[in-house]
Amino acid sequence: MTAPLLKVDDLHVRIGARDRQVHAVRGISFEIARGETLSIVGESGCGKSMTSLAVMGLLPRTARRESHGISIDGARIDGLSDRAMSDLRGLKLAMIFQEPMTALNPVYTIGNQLEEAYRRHNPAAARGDARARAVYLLEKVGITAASERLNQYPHQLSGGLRQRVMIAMALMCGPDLIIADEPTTALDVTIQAQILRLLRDLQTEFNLSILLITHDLGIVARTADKVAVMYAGEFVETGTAREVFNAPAHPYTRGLLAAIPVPGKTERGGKLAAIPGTVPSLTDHLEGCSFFGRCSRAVPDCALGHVALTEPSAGRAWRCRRPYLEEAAHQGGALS
Amino acid sequence: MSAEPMIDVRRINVTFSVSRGFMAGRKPLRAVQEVDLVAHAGETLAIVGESGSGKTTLANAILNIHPPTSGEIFLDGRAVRSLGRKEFARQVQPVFQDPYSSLNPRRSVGATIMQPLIVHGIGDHVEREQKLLRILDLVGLPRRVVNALPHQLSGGQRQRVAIARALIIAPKLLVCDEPTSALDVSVQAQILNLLQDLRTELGLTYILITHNLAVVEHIASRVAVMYLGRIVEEASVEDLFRAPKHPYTIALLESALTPDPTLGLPDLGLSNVFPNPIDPPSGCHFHPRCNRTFAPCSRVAPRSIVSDGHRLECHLYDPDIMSAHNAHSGDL
Repeated sequence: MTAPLLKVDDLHVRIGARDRQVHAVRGISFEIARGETLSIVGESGCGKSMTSLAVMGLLPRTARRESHGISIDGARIDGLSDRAMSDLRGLKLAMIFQEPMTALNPVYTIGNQLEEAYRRHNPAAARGDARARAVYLLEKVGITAASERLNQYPHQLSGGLRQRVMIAMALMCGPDLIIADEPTTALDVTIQAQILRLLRDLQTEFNLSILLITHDLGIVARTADKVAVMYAGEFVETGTAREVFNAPAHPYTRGLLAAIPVPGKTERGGKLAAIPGTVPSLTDHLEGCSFFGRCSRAVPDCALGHVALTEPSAGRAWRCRRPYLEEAAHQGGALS
Repeated sequence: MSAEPMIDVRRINVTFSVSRGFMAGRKPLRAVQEVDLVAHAGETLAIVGESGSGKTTLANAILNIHPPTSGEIFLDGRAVRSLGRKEFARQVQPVFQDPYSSLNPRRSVGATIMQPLIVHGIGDHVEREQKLLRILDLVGLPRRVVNALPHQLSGGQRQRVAIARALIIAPKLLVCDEPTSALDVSVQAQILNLLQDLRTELGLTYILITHNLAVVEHIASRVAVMYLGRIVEEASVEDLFRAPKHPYTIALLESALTPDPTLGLPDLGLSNVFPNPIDPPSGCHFHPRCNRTFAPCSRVAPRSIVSDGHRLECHLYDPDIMSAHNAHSGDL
């Protein structure tokens, strides 16, 4: 495979002042190839949204980003000034936010907002070019009567249409990477399925790389090529979607999968396997495994030292001293 | 056990009057239309649908928060209209979606849970304390949280407080509006387990409002699917998940994304047209989005067809409509 489109090396995000600092992202590394979808999945507070904002260079003022390099197409972007980063946003990488009602500006028309980014990156372009591109993309995302829609305001559109507008907006300058942070969480389930299909079709057509941030394991399983399970600021398990879902090695991944009812698989009315306890506070220095205390397989040793990532093959890894290996090997064997 | 259903909703309508803007007249919005529903004691009746389908309005009508514009609701055989507010509240209690906003942030957990006892004048101070401790154990909250404020608790603990507050006056019916939607999956599992345990232990009846079909399949016994104010299909959970009939129900079931990486994304075949609830489509409300629409759908509203406890409003399953349609197409 050729060089990855996005490469993130040892990313840390710290929020707040020295005395009450939250270490929200604790050294994560990942790569996304062209045309590939990486999904970061985790529960609230695990640091997944901070990761996406850190890549976009949109962290809140109180947060600091450190890394051994973030690069797009081989070019480092982590050292860039705000101005230079703003030149890249929209052009090379673009973001789709969760709530299209708050992410769109209520006092500007859809047309204004679509054209703005295009004209920011193509100052020489005529107004008509931007408008033509906007109409083209609105039609691409399945919005009928696109040229009339350009004069409408966000509140005149339904949630599903607004999210389509958000996607069209992200594509205005033809970026290589789309970061989608919970893109369908605010939508109804039938609309969710349609939007996810749309994203997949656009990905194929424009050879987009997608970083998909979500808490929904169903979405991950159905859309991602690669999966990273995030817990307490770290990746605890990574692999292809099939590896992670068919043979989860980390007890946390197993716990998440066992906690959701699946029609046809989970016994109706039976007990769901809840994960006891709560996520550790990220203000302190974490000693030992971050999942220690909630893990059913933990042994006293798990509370000591830092648990390193075990990486049996490229891209497949887990951060656990007592992974589900025999079962994993068995299920993996049954699958292949 | 009495033969009367715990809750019996008979042809209720809830209509709001909506302003269309400055100087424009007001128009009726029929949020709930001609709804019939029955839940028997010990049952879990789920109401599913998308946002704007009227499921929360229906829940509010059942809770007597916003009584129906027309129609009648019976609780254990007695008309809800004839019951006093307190008498009704003793038997029916709500659990809301967001435990962050449904709890008073300045009232301690203990005071929050005991409040209904004070309102209803049940017991003296000592008895109330005893009931409080018992209910804390029942919902799995540690006794030390009694003096804590809601912001000091986790999301799952807050939802347990909301459930404890609803249960302390021993109601018969719990109306849960999206009880786990604001929670992480591992916590959702805890709350679903708790709701199941409480139902069997206390013999409760649940009305569960949700958009999550996996949750419905897991804990409900009957399910009603709502679309634009109407119940378009209603059946036992086994029936509905094994053999859904209405094209909307089929699309809903397909869009429930189970964590199976071999399946990919479903192609629902639904159109992107979204109806305006103030000006709903003629005939069948679903016809502009439906992938199996045919001539009568835009003209005639489908009637309710019932067979073997499976109720549905769709022309495709109406023998009279279908034979008339087939004869007509045969002529051409």
